[in-house]
Amino acid sequence: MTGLPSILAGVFAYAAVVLTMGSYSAWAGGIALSLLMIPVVMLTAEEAIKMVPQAMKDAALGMGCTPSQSMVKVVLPVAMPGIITGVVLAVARAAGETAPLLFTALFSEYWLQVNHPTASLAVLIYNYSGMPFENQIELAWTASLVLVLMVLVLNIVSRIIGRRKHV
Amino acid sequence: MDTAPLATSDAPIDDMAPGDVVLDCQADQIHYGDFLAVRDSHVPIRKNQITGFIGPSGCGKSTVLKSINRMNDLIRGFRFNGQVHFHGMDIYDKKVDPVSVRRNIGMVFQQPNPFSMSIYENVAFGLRLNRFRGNIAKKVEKALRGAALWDEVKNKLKNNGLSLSGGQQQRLCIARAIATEPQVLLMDEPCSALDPIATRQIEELMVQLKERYTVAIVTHNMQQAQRVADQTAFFAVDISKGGRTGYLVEMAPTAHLFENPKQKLTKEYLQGEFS
Ligand SMILES: Nc1ncnc2c1ncn2[C@@H]1O[C@H](COP(=O)(O)OP(=O)(O)OP(=O)(O)O)[C@@H](O)[C@H]1O
Ligand SMILES: [Mg+2]
Repeated sequence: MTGLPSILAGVFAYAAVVLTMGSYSAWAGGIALSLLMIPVVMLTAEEAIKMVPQAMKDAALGMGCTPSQSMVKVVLPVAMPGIITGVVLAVARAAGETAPLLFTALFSEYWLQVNHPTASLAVLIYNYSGMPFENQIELAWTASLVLVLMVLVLNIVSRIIGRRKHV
Repeated sequence: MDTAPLATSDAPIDDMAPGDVVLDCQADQIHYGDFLAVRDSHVPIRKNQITGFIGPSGCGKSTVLKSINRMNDLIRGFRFNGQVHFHGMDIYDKKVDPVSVRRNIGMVFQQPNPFSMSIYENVAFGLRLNRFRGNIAKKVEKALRGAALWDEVKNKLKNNGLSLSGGQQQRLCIARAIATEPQVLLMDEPCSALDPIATRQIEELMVQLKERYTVAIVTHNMQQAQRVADQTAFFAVDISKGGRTGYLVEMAPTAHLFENPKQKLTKEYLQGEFS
């Protein structure tokens, strides 16, 4: 699933949301992007949960935890930095995606409205860079810088969280 | 989820005198899948005494010990035929919730396994799990004192339990187990990961613990069994029927078992271990 071409997520959300709701919308874009994020988040969460030592799970069982109590009270707190790392990385990846948004959130010159087409940095760069006006091409460059910085910051944040409190 | 039969039927246990059988484990057959791991082993555990389990590796000591608080239930293919009488009921009865069994019969493992949380929260864990309403701080202190760890950690209760030394971690695990005052405490080779000094501390601790609790301990160390155990159960492996099935050869007060064992097998094993 991690190898899913991002454009397919867009096509799927187009069929499932845009066609049924009758218009391009921020919702549809969100759904397309979350489809892309789910495998990354799931894989890292699974890894993080597997990393929790069996001895600790046994201790929880021995104390009289039900399996769900063991998960909530013992396993998840230990695995949480890893899980958050996965989420942050997935957000960073989604922030740079253009293809799935072209069929879903589309683009707009106006402020966010969840039921209507909405702007995104990635699509803005795509649209403006093709314009004949110097001014808009410069805006596209600026947006690229902002996007790169955002992804960089998210990656740094995920590193910091991931480093904390590993057992 | 809240099955209280074990917790509420507390009448019989308080009437018991030290030395009475508080927990009677009758393991007729214990299987892992098709493999018969243990057969015909009857191990009575006496109140306020330490019961030692000895025997060669693979003879089923851990299997029997973990059967007593149903720790093996989650292992696929595990089957226990027999009974474990505790509080006048069989803990393998269908009506009994294994979770409530484990809350009444504590367990200390071979490898120290504190949770990745503060020392304080480690000890308070069982109290919170049982929704204890009283003064948690007091109980935590009492448990840490009971585990002979209080003086070493009283100024750093907020530190992570994993930051302690191995011996301290094991005593933390003991504190965690006794904080809820279980009636029986099971220990599976609790000293095998520790150095001689830490081992001595844990042994002294066990002797103190038996004043208030009933303890069953698996050990590979014959001297340790002699130093701490009141009763000793010797297990061996039977290879006569093709498999490697463990069984109880002999159980007796420790001094009897070591000085004049009734079974030839016990004698041979002890001679081998001491020569
Ligand atoms: N989870 C399991 N699945 C299958 N077989 C198991 C499992 N645990 C133990 N056994 C088998 O059951 C038998 C008894 O094992 P057990 O761990 O109880 O021995 P032990 O007396 O505690 O040995 P040791 O002194 O080495 O700890 C062994 O033959 C072992 O291979
Ligand atoms: Mg063992």
